[in-house]
Amino acid sequence: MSRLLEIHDLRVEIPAPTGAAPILEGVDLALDRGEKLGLVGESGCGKSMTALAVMGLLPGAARATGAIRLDGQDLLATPEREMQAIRGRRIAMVFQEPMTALNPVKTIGAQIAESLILHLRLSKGEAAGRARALLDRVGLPGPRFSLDLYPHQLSGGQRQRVVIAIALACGPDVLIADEPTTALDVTIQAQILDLLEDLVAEMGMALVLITHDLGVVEQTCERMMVMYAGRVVESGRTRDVFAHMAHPYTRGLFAASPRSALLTSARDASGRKRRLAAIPGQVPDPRHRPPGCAFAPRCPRAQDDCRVAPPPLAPLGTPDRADHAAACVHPHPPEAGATAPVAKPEGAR
Amino acid sequence: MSGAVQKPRGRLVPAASPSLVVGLVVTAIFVGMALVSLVWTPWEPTALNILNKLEPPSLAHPLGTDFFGRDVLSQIMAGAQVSIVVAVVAVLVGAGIGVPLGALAAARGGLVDDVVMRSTDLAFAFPALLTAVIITALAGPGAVNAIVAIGIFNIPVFARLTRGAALGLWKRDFVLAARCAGKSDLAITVEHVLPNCTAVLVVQATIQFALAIVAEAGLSYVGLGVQPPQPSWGKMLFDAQTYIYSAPWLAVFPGLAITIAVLGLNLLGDGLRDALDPKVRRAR
Amino acid sequence: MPRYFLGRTIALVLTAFAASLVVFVAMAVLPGDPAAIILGTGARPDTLAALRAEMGLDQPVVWRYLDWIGGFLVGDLGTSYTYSVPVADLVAQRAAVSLPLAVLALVLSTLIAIPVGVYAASRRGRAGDLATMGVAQVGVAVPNFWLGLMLVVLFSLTLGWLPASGFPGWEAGLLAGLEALVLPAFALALPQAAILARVTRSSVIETLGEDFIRTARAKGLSGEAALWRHAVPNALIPVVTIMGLQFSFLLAGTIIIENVFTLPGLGRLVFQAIAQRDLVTVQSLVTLLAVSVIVVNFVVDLAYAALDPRLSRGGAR
Repeated sequence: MSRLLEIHDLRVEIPAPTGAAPILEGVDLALDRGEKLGLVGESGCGKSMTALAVMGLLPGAARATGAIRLDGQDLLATPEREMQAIRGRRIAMVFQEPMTALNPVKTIGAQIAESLILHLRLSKGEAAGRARALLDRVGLPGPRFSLDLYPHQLSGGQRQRVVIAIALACGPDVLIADEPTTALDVTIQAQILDLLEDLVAEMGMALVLITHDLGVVEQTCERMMVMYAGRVVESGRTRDVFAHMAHPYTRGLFAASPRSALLTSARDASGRKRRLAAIPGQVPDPRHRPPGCAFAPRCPRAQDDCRVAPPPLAPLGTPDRADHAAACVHPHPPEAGATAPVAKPEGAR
Repeated sequence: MSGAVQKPRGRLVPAASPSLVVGLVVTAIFVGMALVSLVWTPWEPTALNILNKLEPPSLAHPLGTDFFGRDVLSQIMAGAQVSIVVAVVAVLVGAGIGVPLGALAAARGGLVDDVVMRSTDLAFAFPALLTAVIITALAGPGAVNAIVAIGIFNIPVFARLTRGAALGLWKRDFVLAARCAGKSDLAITVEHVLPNCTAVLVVQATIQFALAIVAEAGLSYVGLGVQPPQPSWGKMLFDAQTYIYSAPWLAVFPGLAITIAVLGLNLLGDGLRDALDPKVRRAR
Repeated sequence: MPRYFLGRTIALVLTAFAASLVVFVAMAVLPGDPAAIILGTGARPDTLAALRAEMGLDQPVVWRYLDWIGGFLVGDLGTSYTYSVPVADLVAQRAAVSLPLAVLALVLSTLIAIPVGVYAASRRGRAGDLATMGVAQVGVAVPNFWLGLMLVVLFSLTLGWLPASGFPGWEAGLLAGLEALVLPAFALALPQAAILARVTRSSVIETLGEDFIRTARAKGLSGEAALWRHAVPNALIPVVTIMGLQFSFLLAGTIIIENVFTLPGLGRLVFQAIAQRDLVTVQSLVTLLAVSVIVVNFVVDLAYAALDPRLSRGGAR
């Protein structure tokens, strides 16, 4: 039986005069109905590209190979016209920037109704009724929040609710939320996440939550994938990944997350106030990735054998953690992760 | 987030775009033609030869002859002189007055700014070419009045542009630093503000230069530009209109000359804009 | 919005008055005594003085301005020295040619430019874009009066489809009138269309890069539908402003084009009036043209505000 959404060996490259630059390489992913998957990593690691590849909305020059299957149908081989019937109907997406994701010269009602009319062939009146109900459901009740409002009349959080209403309009099977709360105030972030969670549970769809915030993933998703430089470097059940953190990059991300300060003691053993550790260096340019593990130049555990070939994503073989896999030549041993979640990378001292 | 990929920093001298190259070449040919015509033309541009009047293009006269038997190619070459002189001086007049006005408005703000800006609003209310026609018609035709009439409408263009660019610069840190160092507004304008406006001004100047060539041709066409016997493209078009039934090619070549000259300048302006404005370059 | 409207209206009135003052002063400063021109060089001093008095030229300058502008406000544009008829009548008669010409040109230019610009934007960087924008680049450079001549050579002299010049008057029938205006309107419209197409293209390209286009595509809209339903309505807002500016260009353009096609319009009237030093006519006509440009720009401002809900609808926050 096929999974709801299955990505196999996805590779995306953008042709450049200096040779094709791979944006994504060997990405695998599987998602079942009702499941919530977190996709984490720094900016530029390929999270959004993965999402856009699923939507079939990669930027013009980008070429995708591999397979993206929705209920067994390979989306990469699906003609554009059929993809249009899938987008917004079966797979929907919520974007990062609510301030710019809505058309400023169209009313929010019209923007919600648009996909209802397109996919469900509703009349204008029916679509308006459904749009009203959707707005009510996402927490923008009438008459205060009329369908005739324009986006500029709403706050960022309210606009994100509209974007969510648009995405949910046709009851999609898969919802991809790309950093849905990053652009919002901290107080609003939790509300929007709660709303998303409620809606996913209520409508029984699958969620792919893209974020750089490990805390959000821990709270929301059963399974997670950590991406770095276009590859999946660690994946598994969220609690397994958090308990172990096999890949040094995962630890680095965790150490850099404000949340790590809450989970561990605010002071380290020597009594100094702990500071957030930034991962040294930057995500490498896709055109100039190192030959071996892309994280090696930034990795505290890197040795010579890391620089030979990119390590494949391999199961760690830890008992009871069947799904847990990491792409690392020298992963952290399990005990370290369980007891001391934060090992400060050497370079960050 | 996918856009956060590090890009290598742009070179200081960007690669020349095709429009920059073509624009430069066409403009160089146009200016070169005018310069050459000062010392040599195939025929004397104003020499009459009634026996050879209205000849179609031939080996002896590549672009034919007009009603008075004058060689069209030679006239077009010499006509470039007028176009260039009138346009250059008109743009210089406009920039010479407009740039200081705009810089002043930006530096002083307040009432001075209001007066300058409202004056430019007012100037834009008068259709430029129409008003140039009226000015030259009332003040008398000729090169000087044509320059004044065209130049006047370059003043508000340059004033606005300079003000806009300068206002942005006045907010920058290096200007603030100069102010803290006790420099006068004038010194800051001359040392920091205007040098940083050069790029936009040069781009605009090429565009105004192209517009001025069309305006000069328009004035000459209605008989208000330079006076005969000095050849000019607009006047040639006017003369050609009389013989449009018997010698339609006469109307073709001067118009082509105007079009190509303006096209070259526009391409040059586009190319310069792309090369000088980092914002546009990134957007491409 | 009402405040914005009021402010704009006051600015409109002040600018219009300033324009009339500029025209009046310019006419007063420029050389040439209209009375002397009418009577010719051999006129006797007393006849000259009598005519000057009759024309009001012996009055103080301020009084002459107030007299003129007062009349202007109630539609009395003065009396033409040469035609001895009210300037208002002359203007009305000539505007019946110029106004349809300008409107026709504006409509043509818009109908050509917007589809071409949107098409080029949608094919950005590909052959269709390069070809249309190459043509537009040339079109921008073509002087309209030369284009007029070339259209005459092609369509009147060679093909014989349309009249080369002149205007039969609207009483000759709508079709005959339009036939006479087609070539001049195209001559005016094509270079303007080239400019407008370039503006439309860059505006659409900018809008196509906006996030809301991706939202629209994610809803399942085709690229085409996202372009026309989401990008174009946004992209056309700034284009409207350019169309307002074009009105001013078209007015200026008519003066030369009417000479190419010998059309009895306002442009020709200005010319004849200047040649005959019919100063009242020139003065009133130029002021009228300036005021119409000011009014058109005002209307464009309002249209801009009406089209962009961010300006016309108050924000909730």
